Amino acid sequence: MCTNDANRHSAVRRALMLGIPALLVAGCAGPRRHAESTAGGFTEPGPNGKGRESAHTRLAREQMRSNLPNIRLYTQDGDPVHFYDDLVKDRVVVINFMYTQCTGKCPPTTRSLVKIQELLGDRVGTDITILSITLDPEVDTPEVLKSYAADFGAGPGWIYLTGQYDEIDGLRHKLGVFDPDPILDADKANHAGLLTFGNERTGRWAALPALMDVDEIVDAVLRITREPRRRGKALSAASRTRS
Amino acid sequence: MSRNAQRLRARCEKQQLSRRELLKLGMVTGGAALVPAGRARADDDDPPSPPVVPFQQDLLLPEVARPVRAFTVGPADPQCSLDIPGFPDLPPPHLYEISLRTGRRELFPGKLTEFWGYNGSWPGPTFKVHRNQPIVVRFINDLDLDGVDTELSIHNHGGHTPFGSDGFPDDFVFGGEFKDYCYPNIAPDDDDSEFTSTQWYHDHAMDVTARNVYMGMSGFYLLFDDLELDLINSGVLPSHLFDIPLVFQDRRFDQNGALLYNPMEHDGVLGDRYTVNGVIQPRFHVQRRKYRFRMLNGSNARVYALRLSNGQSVTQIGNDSWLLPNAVQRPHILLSMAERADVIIDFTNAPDELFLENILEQEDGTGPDDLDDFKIPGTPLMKFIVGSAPVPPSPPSLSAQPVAEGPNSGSPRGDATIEPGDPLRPHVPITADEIVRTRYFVFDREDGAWTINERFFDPDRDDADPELGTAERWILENHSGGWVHPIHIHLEAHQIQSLAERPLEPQDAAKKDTVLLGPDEVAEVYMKFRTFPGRFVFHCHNIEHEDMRMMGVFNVHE
Repeated sequence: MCTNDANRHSAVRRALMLGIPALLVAGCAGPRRHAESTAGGFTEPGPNGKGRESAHTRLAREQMRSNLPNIRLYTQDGDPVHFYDDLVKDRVVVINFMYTQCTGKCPPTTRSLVKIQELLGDRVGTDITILSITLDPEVDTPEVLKSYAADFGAGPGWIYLTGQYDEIDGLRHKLGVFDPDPILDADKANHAGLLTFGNERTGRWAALPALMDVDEIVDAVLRITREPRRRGKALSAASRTRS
Repeated sequence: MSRNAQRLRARCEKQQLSRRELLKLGMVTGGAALVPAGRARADDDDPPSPPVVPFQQDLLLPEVARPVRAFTVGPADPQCSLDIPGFPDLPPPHLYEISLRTGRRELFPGKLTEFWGYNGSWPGPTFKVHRNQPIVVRFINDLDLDGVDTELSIHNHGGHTPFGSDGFPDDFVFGGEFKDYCYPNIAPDDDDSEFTSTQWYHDHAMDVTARNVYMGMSGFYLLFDDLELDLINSGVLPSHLFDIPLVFQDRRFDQNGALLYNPMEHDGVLGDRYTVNGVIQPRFHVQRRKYRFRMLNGSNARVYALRLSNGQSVTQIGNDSWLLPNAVQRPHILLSMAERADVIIDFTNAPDELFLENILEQEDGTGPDDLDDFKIPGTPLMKFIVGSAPVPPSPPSLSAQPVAEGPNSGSPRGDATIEPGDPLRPHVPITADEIVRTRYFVFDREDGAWTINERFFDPDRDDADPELGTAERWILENHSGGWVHPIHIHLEAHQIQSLAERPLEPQDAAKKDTVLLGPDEVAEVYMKFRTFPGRFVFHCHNIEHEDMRMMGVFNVHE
């Protein structure tokens, strides 16, 4: 049974890290690739001309762009950045909230992120960026964050961020990292356990608890944030594999 | 301190005020004390959908799925097996092809709304199948948004389906792929009482189910056996043009009429427009007679209480997938996500116009304030225009029907005879002495996501291991203060024994596939694991919660 194959996920992950389309390894014996042009009934033209961004993708990007505030933040090196334009736009990002004084969920979450960084390998810093945003900017200055990042082994492509409290809190709500119960919401530690990830170019986003199995998280990040398929190329590769 | 302990302490400190009362108090006091900076809910800022005049568009009825002679692409899938234990003589399967692709509809004047539909249809084509006639459905993922696709996994909800065809969450079908799903359409142990009537199929792909369903991936899967056909052919139940599937789905649209889905609304996504069968507040012309409506709550996170605007009661004949033992008269129908109610409405003496309305208010994904607090009049979901329907043509010839439903000729008027109390499908109860094991499952919130027994869903982990051929007692407890969680258990019917917070009504005491856990609810259910071994899931059907890992695996072993 394919879902009992414990190695499957790591196979998917390795393949994705090597840039091989997931579908070549993920489908077990079940799903099969079919020819590009199928028989009658499947030939309804897509909504868009070739080479144009699809309406859904454009809409999803526009919605995210208008929903996420482009607030000014500072990296652990003190560099000023704009959240959306400099950190999210055209990128694959993994976002979490933390604060250095947090003794509950933050250290295990950070350790989990370190493992995720290791599993993602060289892709962190090239096409995947990890963003850790403090919920306690008054304490967490760039210097404090830099020291915290170094302690935990954050490598290139893992950016720690601080800024204005109100703006960060607004961003937190826009990212859906909040509890509708105001008492629970007031406890910062309750917001330190969620990872939000997506690919701004495709408009595909999801969020998962950081303390889940890290292999599962990495699989989900790679699957959700995968790049658009180059169909002709993938098809020929698939047909070779399947035959 | 656990979250619940925190919550309890907070409640005590705040003199037992509810979350909503706190919110209201926060608003009264200017928000400084209790409402945090930023917005209380992500959807506060969402712009409203464009205006639309209701009841201007006719109800759409999805086409009936038709078999194909042979698949048009690729070889058959060896994983899809119809070698069903105990059913050696099943006939060869009928073959169907369904492709997932975009479709468009003018929901707002001058604006085309695009959706992701099975065969480009929202809802997808309605399957009508007969007992012990297996079918194979080749679901083809043809969605190509210029290279961006979505992964799929199709679940036939309520079905007694072999592992491998049940839509396991990570059994993905990526863009450009297809997968064959085998639906044997049997009853477990060939037991008449177990045979289903009203299933529905929808997406179940891990982490992305909510968006996939929101964008249009749902359809009806109706089944018929001799028992039900006898009820139809003897004129007890309405059929054909008088057997109408209705799926209720709330949606939000942008100013161009495009479906808006915010992937950051993890509590559960609500819409500000009510659709029925993919049309906003449609109208439906009916005759002065009885109709059968297969009502499905296909919303991501909204609970409905359905009522006729003239106060007329309805006759419920089925709950979730199964016909009831006896028809039940109901003043209104509470319908949480994924639940179905098979309902007879008698328009014989109805006013010329009446509405099916939702009398339950709900502001966010946590659930309604109070499952018993009804607002009358409610929000009209659709309008019935009575007596204006043209005389329907004769029923299609039987050869054109995938199912041999006969004409309604059992009564002098041609109307159905069904009345409250009439016997329908017998229920053979699972008894206490059959139970070999009790399992406890606590549904809770953790880290902004969702747990069962303090664990997040892991598709590779078994959370329960019932033995094939045995019955078990499961205790399902909603421990997540104030949230509503409809729990769907795949593969088998569950028989609700007791509810802690609600009286157990007759229609709930037979078979269900989804049980609503309101705040602090504890449901005791019996289940019998029959026919199929393998790994199946159970989960919350607030789909955003499901995507945020409120799901578990039970591995039925031999």
